[in-house]
Amino acid sequence: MNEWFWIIYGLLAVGAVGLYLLMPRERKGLIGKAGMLGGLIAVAGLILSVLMRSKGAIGSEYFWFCLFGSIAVIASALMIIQSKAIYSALYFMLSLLAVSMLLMLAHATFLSVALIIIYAGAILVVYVFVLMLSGQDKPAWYDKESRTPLIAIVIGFILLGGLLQLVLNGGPVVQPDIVLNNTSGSVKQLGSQLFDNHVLALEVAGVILLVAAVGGIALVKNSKDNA
Amino acid sequence: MINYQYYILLGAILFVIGLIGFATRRNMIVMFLCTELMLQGVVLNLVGYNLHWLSKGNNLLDGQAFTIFLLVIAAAEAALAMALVMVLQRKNETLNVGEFAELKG
Repeated sequence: MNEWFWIIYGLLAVGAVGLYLLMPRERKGLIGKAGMLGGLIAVAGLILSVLMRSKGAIGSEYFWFCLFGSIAVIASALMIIQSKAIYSALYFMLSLLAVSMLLMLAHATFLSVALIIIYAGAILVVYVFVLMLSGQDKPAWYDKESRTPLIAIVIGFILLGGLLQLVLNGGPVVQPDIVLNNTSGSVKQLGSQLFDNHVLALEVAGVILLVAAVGGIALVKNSKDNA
Repeated sequence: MINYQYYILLGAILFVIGLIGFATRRNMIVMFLCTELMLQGVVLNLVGYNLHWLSKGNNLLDGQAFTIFLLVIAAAEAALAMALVMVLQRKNETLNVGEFAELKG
């Protein structure tokens, strides 16, 4: 198994270099294309290594997992390098759709739909409205330059290397005991468990939403307007 | 069924990409978007561990319940963060985080 570690750390290094080259800077051009190539090599290599490592359970589910996983990773990497903020919000919406499909693969059907409704349908709409109201037609100077990209990428990918070491090294490939039918994670099961086991947390969540609504209004209200 | 370790892996990758974006950008709204990306990584983590639990025959959906509360917190945080961004932008006419360094000593 040891040679896989070198391959994966090599792919991480290629991905780190590619992401660093893609960060917003003064003049792009060939550097941007090289960065995109490095990033794509890293993602393709990770997909191949995942497919080759999971020897016992190759089925159609792994194909969908790799497809939506690569869409999520590529969209989120494209999100952090955009100079226009609205493109960042749209790429985040794409990454959100991919994560929602991954949740559906993990037998969390209600959560995948709830993620789209709440996140893409409410939270990101708020972000897009605030971007509209902030009135930026062209990216300003602070959008075109990134802030210490080298240190951030080095530290981030060292953290990712550590996490990968834990994940890929943490034991043999675990086979599931049972095969789930289609009703796990359904609305009925999740709802009954929420109200049976987590009633207090549910009520506190409602109070948190109320407090957030009151706080949002209190923050934006101009006290001089009040007669 | 998919091995749960790949969900943890993907959650780690999304979290670190969000972390890099948060540390690198100067625009306030894009920084909050990267925070939401980090929360997506955590969602994948929780659902991955719940998948492992389900595959062992335990029929509890605690990971998914936790994710619902995470969505509630993310919504509340996004509303308050956007209110703060609008107030700050009205004050200083910029979305650059570096301009709000009045407490710096």
